[in-house]
Amino acid sequence: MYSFAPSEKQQHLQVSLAEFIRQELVPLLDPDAKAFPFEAWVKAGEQQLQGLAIPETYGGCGLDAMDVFLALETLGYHSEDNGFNFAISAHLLACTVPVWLFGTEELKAEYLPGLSNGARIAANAMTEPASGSNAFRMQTTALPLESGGFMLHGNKCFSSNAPVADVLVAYAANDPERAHMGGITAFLIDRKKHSFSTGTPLEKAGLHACPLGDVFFDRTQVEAHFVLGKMGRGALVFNRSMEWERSCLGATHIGNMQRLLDKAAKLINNTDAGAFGEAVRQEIAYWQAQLDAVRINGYAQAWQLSQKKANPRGAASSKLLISELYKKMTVALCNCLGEKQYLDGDFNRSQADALSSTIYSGTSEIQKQIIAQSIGL
Amino acid sequence: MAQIKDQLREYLLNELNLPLQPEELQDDTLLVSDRIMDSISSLMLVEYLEKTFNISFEPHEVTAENLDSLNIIEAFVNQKQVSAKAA
Ligand SMILES: Cc1cc2nc3c(=O)[nH]c(=O)nc-3n(C[C@H](O)[C@H](O)[C@H](O)COP(=O)(O)OP(=O)(O)OC[C@H]3O[C@@H](n4cnc5c(N)ncnc54)[C@H](O)[C@@H]3O)c2cc1C
Repeated sequence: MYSFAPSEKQQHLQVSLAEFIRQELVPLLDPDAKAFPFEAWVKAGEQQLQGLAIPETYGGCGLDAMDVFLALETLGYHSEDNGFNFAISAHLLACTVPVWLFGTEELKAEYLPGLSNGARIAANAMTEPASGSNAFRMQTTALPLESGGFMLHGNKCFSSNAPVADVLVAYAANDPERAHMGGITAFLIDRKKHSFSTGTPLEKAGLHACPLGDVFFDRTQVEAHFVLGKMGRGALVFNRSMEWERSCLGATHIGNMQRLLDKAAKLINNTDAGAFGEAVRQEIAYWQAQLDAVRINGYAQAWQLSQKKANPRGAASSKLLISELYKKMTVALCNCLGEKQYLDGDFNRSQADALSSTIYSGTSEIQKQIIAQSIGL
Repeated sequence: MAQIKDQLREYLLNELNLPLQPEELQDDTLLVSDRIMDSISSLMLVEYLEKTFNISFEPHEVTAENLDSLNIIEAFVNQKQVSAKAA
């Protein structure tokens, strides 16, 4: 069992990463900007933040899921740009990881180094206008061709990083009737080799550094060796990537929440808390206790994943608990700190950024469905 | 013969964590029809069978019918192994 005490190696990872983020990355980030921070993306690539989980032989850091969690928690704590942290995490967990787990040797050798070192940006294209939670009921088709390749046709939406992406991990139905049971295929799509287009970034409430947009396939021809896994096994590819995303993306939220609680403590200590001081102290203490609990649950799930144990319930619970706490805590902190937080953009931004955390990687209802199913409910 | 089922039982209970007690997993327990095993677990099982028993599913063979019970899966694996040897 995981001991919960970080090893010397893990402590070193957190300390050296924190130094890099504070000194080299943060100066390149503007959390209020509404544009993708290309310069910071390239800088992050110098430490292979986009390839934390990818083996060193393919140009990544070679960390297991537990250490990926710790690294992303460190990013979430030290970088106030939650949109940038999200762009890195979505790229890593929903795109780079499935290329590593399901790509052919050839594909991995060609794409993983650039996906790990900041040379390439990737987007996951699953959601469609008529299929969100019921993702496998997609309308985008992948028609098998005589050449052995496929022709993709249809529209995707809500794809994080898509407007700036060089590479997509996209899902299309080779047999719509069969849906997840043999009817969905996963592809790596390269903007330089395949014809597709992307829409302009959508206006949204938060996560501004991570542009969100549509993807359009118009009879896009894709060769057979760009299939991830096997034809008809795309549901497996998607689920593995979601298991990683649900287990590790919340680490950035944990870091974000701890940063806000630490700031809240400073704000309260440095000002006259007035008549409600004790009530506010009590409330902050209770949020800290809840954060400690979901953090340990997150560690336990990341550890499970690092042991290569499939645990959909663990991943769903971790995601559910972290995102629900994130959304509630960011609202509550703004409320209980009153005007003190209003002058610090971090509290307001985090509140807006947290709004979508209970939607992406599957909504809270979908996580509850997975948990219910795992206990035969 | 029992070996395939033993290996399968171990995989279904300990790796896929199907919501069943060991004594509830009989040779004819309906895994897909009775919604004990969802489609993602079914696909994971397909990958496991391919790797462990050195067989390959054709796309049209990835169906609930071929994966619905220990008896059915064992028969499918045996038939695949026989036809691989004959080829
Ligand atoms: C910031 C952000 C980033 C995203 N990034 C990506 C990305 O990179 N790639 C990508 O493909 N998608 C992405 N998405 C899309 C996201 O995955 C979907 O929005 C999500 O799966 C929900 O789908 P939907 O919006 O169509 O809502 P719907 O599925 O229409 O759901 C609407 C409501 O109904 C509930 N509901 C639906 N089905 C059930 C059910 N069976 N039982 C109970 N309640 C149910 C939902 O929980 C929700 O509350 C992103 C979304 C956001 C907000």
